[in-house]
Formats: sequence, structure tokens, C-alpha cells
Amino acid sequence: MITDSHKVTRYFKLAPDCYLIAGKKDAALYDVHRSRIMLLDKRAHKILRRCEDNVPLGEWLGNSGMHLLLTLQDEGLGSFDSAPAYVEKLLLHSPAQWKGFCIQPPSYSRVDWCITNHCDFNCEFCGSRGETLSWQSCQTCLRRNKTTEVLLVYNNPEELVAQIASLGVKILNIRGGNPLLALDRLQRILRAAQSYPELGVVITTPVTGRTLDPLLPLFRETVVQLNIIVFGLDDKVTKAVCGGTNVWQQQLAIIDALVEAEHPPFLTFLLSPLTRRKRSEYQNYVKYRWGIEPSFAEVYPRRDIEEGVRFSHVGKKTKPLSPWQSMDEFFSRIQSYSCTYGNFEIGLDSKIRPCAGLDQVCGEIVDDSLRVALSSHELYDIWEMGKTKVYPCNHCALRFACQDCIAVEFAGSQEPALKQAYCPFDPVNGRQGAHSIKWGPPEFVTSLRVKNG
Amino acid sequence: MRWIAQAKSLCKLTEPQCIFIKGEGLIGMERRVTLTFHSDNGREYLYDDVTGCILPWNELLETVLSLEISEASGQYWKGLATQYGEKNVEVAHRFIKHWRDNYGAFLRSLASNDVGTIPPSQLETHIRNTSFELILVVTENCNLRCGYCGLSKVYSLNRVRTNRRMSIETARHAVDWYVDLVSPQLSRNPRKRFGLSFYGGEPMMNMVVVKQVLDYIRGKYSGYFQPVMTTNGTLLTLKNAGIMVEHDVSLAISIDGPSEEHNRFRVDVHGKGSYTRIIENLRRIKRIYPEYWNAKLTSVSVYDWGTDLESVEKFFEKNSAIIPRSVFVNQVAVLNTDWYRRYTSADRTRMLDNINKLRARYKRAKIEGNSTSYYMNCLVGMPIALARLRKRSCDKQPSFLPFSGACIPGDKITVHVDGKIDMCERINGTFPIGNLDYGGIDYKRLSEIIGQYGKEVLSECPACPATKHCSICFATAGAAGIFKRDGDLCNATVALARQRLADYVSILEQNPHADLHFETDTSRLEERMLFDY
Repeated sequence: MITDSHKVTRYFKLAPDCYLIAGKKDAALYDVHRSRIMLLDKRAHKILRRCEDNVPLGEWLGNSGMHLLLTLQDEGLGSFDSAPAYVEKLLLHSPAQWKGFCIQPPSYSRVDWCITNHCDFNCEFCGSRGETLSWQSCQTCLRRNKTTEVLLVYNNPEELVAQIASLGVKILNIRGGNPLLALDRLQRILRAAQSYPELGVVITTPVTGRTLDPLLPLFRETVVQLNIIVFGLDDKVTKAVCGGTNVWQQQLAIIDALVEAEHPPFLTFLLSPLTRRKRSEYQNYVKYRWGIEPSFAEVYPRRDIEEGVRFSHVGKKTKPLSPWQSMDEFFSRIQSYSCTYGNFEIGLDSKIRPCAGLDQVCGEIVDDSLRVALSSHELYDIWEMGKTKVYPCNHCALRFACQDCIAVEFAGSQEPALKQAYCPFDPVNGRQGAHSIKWGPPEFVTSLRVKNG
Repeated sequence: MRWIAQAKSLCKLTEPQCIFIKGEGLIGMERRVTLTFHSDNGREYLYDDVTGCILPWNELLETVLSLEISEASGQYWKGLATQYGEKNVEVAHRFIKHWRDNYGAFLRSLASNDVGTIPPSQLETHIRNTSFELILVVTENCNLRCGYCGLSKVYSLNRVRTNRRMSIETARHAVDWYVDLVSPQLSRNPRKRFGLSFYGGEPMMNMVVVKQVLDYIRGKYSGYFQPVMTTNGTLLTLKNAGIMVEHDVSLAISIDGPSEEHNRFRVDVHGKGSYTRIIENLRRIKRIYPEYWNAKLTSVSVYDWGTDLESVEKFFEKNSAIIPRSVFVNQVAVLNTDWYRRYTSADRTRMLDNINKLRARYKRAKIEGNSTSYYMNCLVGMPIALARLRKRSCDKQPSFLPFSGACIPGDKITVHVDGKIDMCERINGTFPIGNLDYGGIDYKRLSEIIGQYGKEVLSECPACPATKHCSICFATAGAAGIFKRDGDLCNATVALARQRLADYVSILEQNPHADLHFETDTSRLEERMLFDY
């Protein structure tokens, strides 16, 4: 395999847009331009590490090693050279930004605003203490504390809407409890939002307990979207999950009416242990009936997880990897925490948290001033807590492809069960190599192995 | 190798640096904007100014790029394959095409329609959303008579030292006006602290107003500003230091080196050197306010052709316990001045030799993983580090000012003792952009100034291979009411970029993990995308 022409070329370097990312036990090549990852076995990693360190090619490489390098060259991921070189990796932006005076405004994208704890239901997975909530899927109606109605500390929700809009926030998600049970607050917020056409408003609610009639005129005048939380497609299942009677029938009538009025809602199914196998059934039903593509949120009682129940993606070993849609997105994954970046929650207690699923307080609204609450560093530190900063994610070769919402949980928790609950792969213990798992989606992650000899 | 010469001559015949974009007719021209350079080990590299990337380079890649750009016929490609082997040519060709097709590398359009053009209303919106610093010239007086001072008569276009002071009314007016100006940012960017810089003359000669302004912003605009001051340090009495500590003012103190160097020019009205007074003040502050000394005090230095830079660098390193860390080391300005008439070309050569020795020491230290003094980091390290921190393909400047190192006018705003507004503290006095008493910034006038700068200074920038390394700005290009492109300065910028890139790569070739950090007085760099790979 080693030809004369290769004997005179003494070095091999990866292309500037191909990154060798090492984990504790595994390593991967990231082809940034083509949005793909090649998992390397130990030998391939060792060979490429030595090449990157400008070690001259020699007998140590072997024919199979040379075959690897030729393959990479054919793929445009590297090339042979006659002299050592420093290959600076491609970056789209300068690798530093100025702090202090020149700090750039962050990109605030979504605010979750909890306006009430009231709810007619008694779901067993809904939070009764702060720590329970963080085990559940987000973007639902789950409450941090379902027993106490805390009075709003801020007196002027209109002013708060104005401040949220001036941040450049794109989506304001009003949530509870059931925000329809705080109708007066909700109406004031929606009326205030009418002045800010750039601000989209979402109301996350099971849409039961109150008529929508007082709100419908506001829907027509504001960019408002309902995100209806659905527990199941029959009243028996629904009653078992949330304790309410005739909930599905009520929801069905409202959704029909909204679709009829050409104001179709988002639908989010809570997948509890009772309903998690019905995902396809639910999806097909709502697509057929209303043409809506629903979202799904897995929820579990805490005791179930403590007893070994795992989220479905953990059981199937389908860690949520996703290809980056652009090189910009790839680099944004490196510098920030893609799940929380741009988002924060305003709690009923006026405290700022990174999201409804995390109980880390990053500020507090005092005297109706969101600016003061957002002027300290805590929230932004979490936004910038990329997976390189958190153990054990920083030991995972797949860290820049992973979309699992776990890093902040890891950083703030000592609970070993937590890691197992979220991620099927432990990059540190070495009992299971990344090669031994089928990662999705297909063709995004492949393997590069070097045979001995 | 004959065919290579032929290929290159072909490129010359067809103006290799300049080709037409094909399409429906002639729509514009492109120019190759690259620099080749060698590391200290003799390794060749190419810097591409479109992407901002550095690529290992060789004769094959160079020839392939030349043939590709000139759309050479098949015979040249065949010759190339014969010389280098078909496979190698194929690999090189694919590499060049990948960078051209996917990243737009190597060629830049010469079209520059928007350069220098921005309507006044858009300019106002831009400034309100980007301005970051208000500079108050609280006095035009100074207790020193430094020979090279910008307010002395050696700079023909600069304002000169007078007894004028800013009143508290003007200062408050400036602060109120500025807060109103940046109000869109106050809500949009809650973390941002705006710079409030006290400048002079010697700003401590108007401490009454400085203290009143500090009290005013603490009462009315708490949390909005980070106050800073540039001072000669002679008036840093216990009382004044207490005010600085109370208000958390960052102080940049001018110290040029050991007493014999510092006192060469930094003298009082009686010709007496100021070194001893400053050192006494620093010792006292360190003793009484050690945390403040450590966190908020920095030193700024200048040098000229008469400076023994090696001994000055040793002085700063040896006395780091009492001299605050260096954040800026600049040469005495060379534009619009007769300052350097006192020196010979041999003096200049000696200074350059000194800098080169320090550069060599810096590179050696970084390769070996050793630390270097703050002074050395500023003098020779900062330019090398800036090669790493250069802009990349997506670091766009506004379309009306896409080139040069100029701040966007309004980023910094200087208000003088009489309310006159300049675009920065360094620009000569012939480009005022407004007056506090006449509504603040005159956006129409400012738009005209930017237009003039675009026309006179930036017209040839699209063809420059070092636009991401340029430090030319309104201040350096300003003459008496006009801007002038200085071809020599442009050439020097390109040469300096080549040298910085070579130094940078020479270090990292031998130590890819070399620490190139440096500090400035008011900002620190945040690494955000340098990650292990």
C-alpha cells in the first residue's frame, strides 16, 4: 500500500475544517462542512493524533494506517505534506470577544412566564417540590409547586411585557398551572402584547376550566397561539393521568372550534408511563383529524425514575444526536448550551431561572425591573455552559452533536441516578465504547476503524 | 520546471490578480487578496483575507490556484500532472476548489458601492444601538509639560494646553444626553456597562467636577457606567485615591520606564522629573488599598526612537510589585508632528533592533511555555496575539465602513470642556461632529465625514490582502479637515500583517498550546471558540 510517492511525503494533516475531537475513551472526526461525524477506534485516533502533532510518517503507520490516511485524503479531509505545519482550524468568527464596554447584546429568544399555580387537575408527575420538576420534559404546563399560590411580586404586568419586548424576545410563553385560571392577568398581558407585533405569544394550557370566549377577540388582534396540553385521546386514560373527568371531550370540542375558526393550536401530548406507547397513535390521529403535527413530552413520577424507569430514548439507546444545519450552528454549539441559550423563565415568585425545568435562580425582578434582574452574570453563565464545561459531557467525543438537555443538570447535581436517567452513554467508565451503539440519525455518525497490521 | 514558468507567465499576461466575474455581461471585477509568508522554520503559508484563514502552502497549490483563477487551458494542467503526479494535482485542485466554492476564498469583488454611504437617520439609529463610551475632557490643563504631549505644540493640528475646565453643568448635561442616546441599549443589553472616561489634560486638575460627576451617576444612573481615568499619577493623593476607590474607577497611569527614561520628557513646569512623585503615590495606594491597586490600576507607556526598550522592559518586570501591570505600550505618534526631527536614522534603527530582540525573546518564551512580562506582552505580544484574534469571514463590519480599523463614529464620543463633540479623544481638532448646546451629534455632518473617509481612504481597500489586520482609522488618516490615504502606511500595514502572521505561526508550529493572552485597561478578552481539538 505504501507507494514511493508516499514515502517522500513525510507528514499528514487534517483539513482546517475537519476537527479531531477527543473524549475520555473515544474520539471522533467532525467534518464540519458536510455535517457528519466519524467515530474513530483507538488505533485510528492514535494515528491521527500523531499526525496532528507533526510526527513524521513511518513504519509505525503500517499499511492499514496508510489506508486510513488515503481514505481521508480522498474524502477531502486531509492531505500529505513534505514538511511539518501548523494547521489553524477554520473559524467563522474571531475566537474572542471583548467583555466590558463592548459586550454584545445577547439573543433573547423565548421567555416562559408562569402567571399562576392554579390548576383543576392533580397529576402525579406535577411538581410539589422544586426538585421534582427538573426530571420532566419541558414546554409543558408542569408546576414547580402545585400547592401554594404565590402572589405576583410585580404589580405592573404591562410594564414587564414592554421590557420583555424591548429585549428583542421572539416568543413569550404564558404558562401555569393553567393560565386560563388567572384570566384577568392573562387578558392584561395579551392586551399589552398588542403593542409589540414582533413579540409572539404562546399560552400553554390544558384549555379546560374556563371558556375561551373572553380571549378570542384578543387572539384576533394579537399574534397569540395556544399550546394545548393533551393527556390522551379518551376520557378514561385522561382521568387516570390527570384526575379530571371528560377532559378529552372538552378539549376535542375546543380544538375543533379553533381549527374551524382557522386558528389551529399547537398540541403537546404528555406521555406518561400509561401512554408512552401510544405516541404513533396520537400522532396519526391529530394529523388526520386536524392536519396538526403534535409535540410530545415525556413525564414520569419521580418515584418511577428512582425505581429504574428511564426515558424512552435512554432505553432505546438513541441518544438525541443531531446534525448541525449550518457551520454557524456547529460553532454555536461549542460556545453555548444549545438547549437553554436565549431562554429564561419568570417564575411566579418573580425569580429568573434558565427554564421551567431548572431550579437555579439567576436573578429576581424587583421594582418591576427586568433590566436589573438580567444584569448579573448567572443566567449567561448557564447559557454559555457548553458541554465542554460540564463533566462528564466534556469527556464525550460526541459532545458537539448531542442535543440532550443534561449538561446543566449534571453541573448542579451529585445524584448518580440523574446521569443514568438521561443519557445512555457513559463516556468515562469505558465499559461501553461509542462504537458499540447505533447512533441516529443514519449516515450522520459513521465509524472509521483501522485493522491491526 | 519550464511549464511552471509558462503557467506563471500566462497568469501575468492575463493579469492574475484581476479577473472578470462571468455572468450576463461584465458585472464587476475580483482581485486575489492573499499573502504568502514563511515561518521561522521556513514553512510556507498562505493567508486568505476573504475567510481570514491561514493555510499551509506550497508551490503546487500556488500554481493550481493561479491556473484556476486564470482559467488556464488543459495543456498547463497536463504539464502540472507530469511534474507532480496526477494524484497530487487532483488533491491540490480539489482543495483549492473546496475553499473557493464553499468559503469564497482567495478572490474579493472590487465593487464597493455602499462604502462611506449612510443616511443621517440610519447613522443615528446605528449609534444609539452601538455606542459604548463617553469620554469627558474635564480640563485642558496639565501640571506636567511632557515634551511629546499631544497638547503641546509639536502636533500642529491638535488642541493645545489651556486653563479651560469643564463645568459641572456641562458634565451633567453630557451624561444625561449620553444616557438618552444609548437608551435603546439599556433595555436591550442589561449586562452592558458603558465606559465613562475622564480625560484631559490631567483630569485630576478638575477633581471637583470629577467627584461631582461620579456622585451624580451613582445617584441617578447606578449600574450604567464603568468609570475610567487616564492620569499622569502625580496628583494621586490619598484624598483623590480615596475618591477613586469609593467609585471603583479604573486608573491608567502613565509611566514610561525607569526614572532616567520617564524623566526624559515627563517633567513639571520647572523641568523637574515626575517619576519619584508617581512612585510614592503608587506605594501609598498599594499599602492602603491593596485590592484596588491590584484590580483597578494599570500603566500605559510610550516610547520613541530614543528609548532603550530592553532596559525599560527589564524595569517593568523587576518592579512589578509596585508598577501596575502594563496594558498599553505605544510609540509616540508620528503623524502631523516634527517630534522625530531630534533623532537620526541610526536612532530609529537602534529602536527597531531593540524591538526585534524583544520579539525573539517573546517567541522563544512562548515556544518554551514560559510567561513574559506585561510590558513585553503589550509591546510585542499584543500584535502577535491580534493575528490570532483577527476577524474571520463572518465578522462583518457595517456596509458603510467595511474596511480599515476605524471605530464606527459614535462608538466612542468625546465631549470637550466647551461641549464640542468629537468622534474620539485621539482625532485632531478639525473634525467636530456636533455640540451639546446645539442638539448633540450633527448626523448630517457626521454622514459627510464618513463619506469623505470612504472616498479618500477606503477606495482601494477591496484589493488589499490585509484588511483584517488594518489599524488605520479616522484619527490616523486625518489631516487638516480632510482625510488622506497614505500609501506608505497601507504598505506598512501589509508588511506588518505578514510579520505578525509569521511570528504567530512560528510560535504555534512549535507549541500549539502557547499562551498568547494579554490584557487591556477596560476590557478583557473572552475566549469563546478556542476549544481543544
